[in-house]
Amino acid sequence: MSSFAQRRVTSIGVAFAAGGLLVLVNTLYGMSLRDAAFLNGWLLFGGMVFLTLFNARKKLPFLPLMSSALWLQIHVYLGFICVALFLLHTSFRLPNGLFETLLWIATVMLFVTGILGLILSRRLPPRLRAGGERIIFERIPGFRAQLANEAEALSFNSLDDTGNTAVANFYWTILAPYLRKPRNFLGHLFGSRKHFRRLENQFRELKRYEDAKGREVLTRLAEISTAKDNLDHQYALQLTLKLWLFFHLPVAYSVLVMSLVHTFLAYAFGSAAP
Amino acid sequence: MIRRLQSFDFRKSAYVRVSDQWVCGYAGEGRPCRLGPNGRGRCQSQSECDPRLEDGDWVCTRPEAQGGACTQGPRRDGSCCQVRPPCVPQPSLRRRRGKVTFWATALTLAVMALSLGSQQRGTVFDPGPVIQGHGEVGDCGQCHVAFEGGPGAWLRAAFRPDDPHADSKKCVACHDRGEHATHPHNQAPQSLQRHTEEIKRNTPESSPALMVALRDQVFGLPEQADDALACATCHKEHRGSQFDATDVPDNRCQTCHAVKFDSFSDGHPPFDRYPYLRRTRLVFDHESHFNRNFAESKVKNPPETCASCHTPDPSGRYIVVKSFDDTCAACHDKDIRGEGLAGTKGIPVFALPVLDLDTLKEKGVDIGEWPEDAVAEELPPFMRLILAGTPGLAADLATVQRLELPDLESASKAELEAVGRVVWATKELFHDIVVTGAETVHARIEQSLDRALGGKIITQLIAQVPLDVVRGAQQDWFPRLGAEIEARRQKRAALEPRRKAGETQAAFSFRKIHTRQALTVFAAATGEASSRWAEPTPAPRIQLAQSGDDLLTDDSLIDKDALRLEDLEQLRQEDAAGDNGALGKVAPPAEGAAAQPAPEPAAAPAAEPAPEPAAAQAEEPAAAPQPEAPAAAPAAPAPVAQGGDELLQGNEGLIDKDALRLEDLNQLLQEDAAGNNSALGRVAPNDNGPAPAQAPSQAPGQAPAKTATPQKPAAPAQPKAAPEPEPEPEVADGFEPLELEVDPENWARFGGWFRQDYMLFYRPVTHQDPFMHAWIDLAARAQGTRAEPHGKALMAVFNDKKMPGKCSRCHSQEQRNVKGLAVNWKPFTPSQTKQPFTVFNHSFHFSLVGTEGCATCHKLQAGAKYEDSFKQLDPQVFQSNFAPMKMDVCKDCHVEESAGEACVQCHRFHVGEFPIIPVRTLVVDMAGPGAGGGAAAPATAPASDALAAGNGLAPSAPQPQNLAKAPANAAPAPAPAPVQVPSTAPAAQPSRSATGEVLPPQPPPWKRKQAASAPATSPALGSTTGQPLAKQTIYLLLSSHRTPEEAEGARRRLVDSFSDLLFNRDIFIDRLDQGDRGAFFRLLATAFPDERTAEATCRALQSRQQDCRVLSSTPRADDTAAR
Repeated sequence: MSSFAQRRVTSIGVAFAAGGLLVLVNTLYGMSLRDAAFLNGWLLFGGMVFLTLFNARKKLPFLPLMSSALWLQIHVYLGFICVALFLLHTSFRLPNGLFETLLWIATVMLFVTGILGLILSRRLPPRLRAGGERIIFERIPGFRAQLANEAEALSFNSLDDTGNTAVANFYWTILAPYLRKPRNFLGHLFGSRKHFRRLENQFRELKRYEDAKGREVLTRLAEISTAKDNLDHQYALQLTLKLWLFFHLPVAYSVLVMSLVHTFLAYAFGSAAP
Repeated sequence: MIRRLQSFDFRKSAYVRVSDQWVCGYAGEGRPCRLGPNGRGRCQSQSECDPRLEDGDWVCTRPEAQGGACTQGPRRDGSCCQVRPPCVPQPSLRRRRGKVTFWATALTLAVMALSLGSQQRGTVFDPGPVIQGHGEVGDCGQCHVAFEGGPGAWLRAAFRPDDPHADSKKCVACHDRGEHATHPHNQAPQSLQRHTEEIKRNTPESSPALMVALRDQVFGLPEQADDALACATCHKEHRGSQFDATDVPDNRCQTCHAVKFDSFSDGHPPFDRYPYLRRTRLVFDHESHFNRNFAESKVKNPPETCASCHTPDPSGRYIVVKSFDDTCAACHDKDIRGEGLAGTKGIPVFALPVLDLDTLKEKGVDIGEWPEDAVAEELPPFMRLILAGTPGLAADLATVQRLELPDLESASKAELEAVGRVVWATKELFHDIVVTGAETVHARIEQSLDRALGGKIITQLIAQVPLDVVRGAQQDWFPRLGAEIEARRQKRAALEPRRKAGETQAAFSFRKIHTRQALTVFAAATGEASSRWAEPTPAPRIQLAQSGDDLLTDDSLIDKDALRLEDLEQLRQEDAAGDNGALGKVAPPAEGAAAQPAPEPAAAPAAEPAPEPAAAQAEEPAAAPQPEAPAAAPAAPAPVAQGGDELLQGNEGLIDKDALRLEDLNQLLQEDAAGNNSALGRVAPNDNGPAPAQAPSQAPGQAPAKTATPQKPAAPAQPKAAPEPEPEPEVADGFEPLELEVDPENWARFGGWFRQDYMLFYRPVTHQDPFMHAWIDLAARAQGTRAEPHGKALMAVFNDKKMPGKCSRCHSQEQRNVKGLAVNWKPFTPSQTKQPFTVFNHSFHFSLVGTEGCATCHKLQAGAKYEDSFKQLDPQVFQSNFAPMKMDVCKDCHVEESAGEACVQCHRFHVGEFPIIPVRTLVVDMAGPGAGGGAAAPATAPASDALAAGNGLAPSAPQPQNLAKAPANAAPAPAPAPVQVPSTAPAAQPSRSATGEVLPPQPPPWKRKQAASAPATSPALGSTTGQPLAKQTIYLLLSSHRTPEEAEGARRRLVDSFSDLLFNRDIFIDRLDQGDRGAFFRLLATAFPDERTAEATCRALQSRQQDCRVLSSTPRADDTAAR
């Protein structure tokens, strides 16, 4: 068994053991004529606060607080434990009131986006590696502009080299819009190559009517287009890896705020012994 | 082959920080500046390099990644020649994410804050619908004490709750669970502790289940000072209208129970004696009935199935016994009437015991007339219990009970005197029953028990005795009872006017009342103004002797017991001296009277008494003239002198005492000597005349009168209305009296009263005979009172198998802690209000029992000593006819996967008797607004001093009680500001607004909806103007107390006692500071729909001795000042 698999098995085992222990404690607490919702509620709230600290940990890389990778592992498995606590806390039922429904929806969104992020972070990086050149996300706009400028220069020069406007027209009608902005986001996200094959076909069609110089220009433009496609690929996947946090983080903080209010209300109106 | 774009050589590529908040505006064009924006998002670079001075020349420093050193080089002044316009920095993706997160969090906070601060917070934070049963609950404040105070109060309640059980008290305001509503099983902690220890003692030590043991190790039980449990510990709410709030998980039960086990199928203790824990209320030996009575064909139609005698109750939960008529009557109905009994078939209620009259006479104990042929050996227990209510007679009764009444020769003087007192008490009892009715019996019994009787029992004790029965008995047994008693009481009134030393107030009052009562009646009978006799003058004898004109004052002729020979002699001398002494009013004693050692008039007569057929009539109130008419008689003596024969006729004979003078008596003597039938002729002692005529309404089966003659008093003052004895009414109007073919006992074979041998018997009529019921209950209630010996004797009569009725043969008696001895008149009857610990629904199991039927579970146990269980009074000591049930019968089905085995399937947590709160509907409510005029009703009775003190008003101060009379256009005044006493008022209480202003208490939720939909003002019901009154809050002031604890206690008592009147009303405690007078805690009730209802409620409360006053929301001046 590889170390990775061993680590994963160990982590899952620990997570299950922790979850089972929490369920046991929750049951024992309920048997002591107390309202177990207070116990599992506090555990859930504490768990979510700890999960939030992962974000803080990333902002404090200089502190010796274990590696971010370990934090991420804890974040993932504790997140699953929190899901179990949430189900215990809600007694596996849907809420009835307005506020509790909002809190429930927000919490579910938090879990869903977290799980989605986990899935994306497991699925997309291999595809990023498998595609082409791996490019830092922040550099992509610059490279895209660089490729667009280069293609534009080739198209201008082709007027003199080929003596016709076919290549220039092809550039201005097909390539320029393609090169100037990120394209085919969903296609790249879901692994589709249809858009690029269509572009290749267009190159192929045009080459049939071009002489050697024209075909050379077209070949260089095709290389630029391929590089641009790789940029789009990198951009789409990396952006996705960043965009899910746009949902996860705001919902997480909102849930924390609402949980505080919920806790306050529970203590104010919960008649049972906490 | 993909063209590679990225280079990581620091000379060829810029360093990109992913944590940068801003990105250069030219980055999107592929030519970002070398510095990038600063932290505030401002462009920092307007040239491509910062030239460096090197050996006096400026050198271009543009990095290789951006093209390297430019060809033009820096300018002479050292500035870069490649000037770029400043870019517009773009926020990085990270910054954008942070912004979104910030605003989302801020938005959430704002929404929460706004929601908490808004008036709609109840709606926003409502955790969901409540169950159907709570559907009428209007807002959160009805159940949550902290709600009304707003977020501030919520915060306080969350972290520093005043009363952890405040919300639970709200629950029990409607769900009455008794005094210990929040304690486990609604039992007192001490009681539960005792019970637990008892179970622990009787249960073998066992190791708890794993989970329970773990729980004990990890958490233990909540630490609560008073061991109270909140309702929400088990009952959850806000889980939808269809949620079952009574579905409690098993772990709630397993928490505390001494015997811990996992489930019914695993570890549940055996049933032991269940369900035969308690003795049956009716004594019915199934085994003997099945094996003997039914099997030996003693019964014509023996029951074939259990259903012949048992039937499910309407709920199907219990199996109850059918009615007596449907079950036992066929065989036992005759037993009740005493048919087939060898001895007497009636129960002696009243009886004259045989007395050793000779000894009594010999020892000078005057008992007046007494039948010599009485046969009863002793006073019946009925009489003893009644007579025990006569002040001072208890010891005498005990003495008499020890004596052999037919032979008193060996009795001491004191004992004989005791006999005399008992005899006179018996006579007085008879007298009072005849004259005043059954109330005298009630009064005596209450005196005897020293406690008030109420309800049906007091009406059933004697109410069924017809007047004719007792009057007939009196006429037969004591024909001159009226005169005897009247004379005796006059004497007593004269000698004992004041309260004796050591006499209790109750005894004194009793004696005084009865003396006055008798005198009043006697006065009415004799024509005296009742007012005159109602106040007997306690004049001593010496005064009487000196005031001869007052012939019949206290020591009058009739006060014969008080007269002694020396008195008479003295009076005679005084009379001879010209003084109008009393002697002139006294008839000369008969011959032989002087020979009596104690010349009391009762013992004096030796001659045969003159016939006095109308003597009884003289005592009949019906024959008495109206009190007003004879009132003038004392002032008009003339008629007496004019018409001697008429002097004593009717009721105005000797009894017209005040009109008699010495000369009148002399005249009478002369007339008597002349053979005229004067009054004195009638005064002559002669009791051997014919017995008074039978009362026409005499009881059936009445025995012939056997009045003894020798012992009858001479009764010189006995009214003699007729000069000659009237003939025996053998033939009246041509009809002969019928002779009875059966003796009285058999005449009453279908039950009722009959008289025989100076005894008055009662023969039970049928099952559930009210007389028997009442007296048996009375005998039971005598336990613990000073009449207990008489109660026991009485109970022995009812328990006597030779007596009819045989009630105790089937109706068991048991000792109860609170009420003492109790008789089980009914078999087990399911109660709607009583909740047992274990429940079982029989009807659910009918389809499962198969051919064995009831015997599936209830198997007869041969040889059980069932009847022995009833030889003592503890119902818990019981040996059933049926063998203990086996758990295996239940375990076949009651497992988790089949019929279930939850604790609450068979057990209830709330154990005890919890009253169902009745619907409170006043008749005035139903009559509608136009009816009654209740608002115009006068103010109610003045409140008590405490009430007035609480108001800060004297009782006579004008009260704003009638809102209808208030000016219609009066501005609505602010409601009184009741101050909530913390943790004392579970009902709706006054609250504070967000600004701290004290708000009046809210009406209950079911009223709030109506109030919300109702207009702000409503027509004044009963208003004479018909103008609408301003909406006002109406309060009832119920009581006022010095401490909140007292007020809370009073509140509980009120809720318990007047739940029918105060249901749906908010009862709360209002603190009223009266400055120097201190603070008062007033008990107020509100939530009345209108003033008329409030006043009607107030009147109803007052009629039940509860102080009450109607207050409007308009505060009085002093109230305002006080506040």
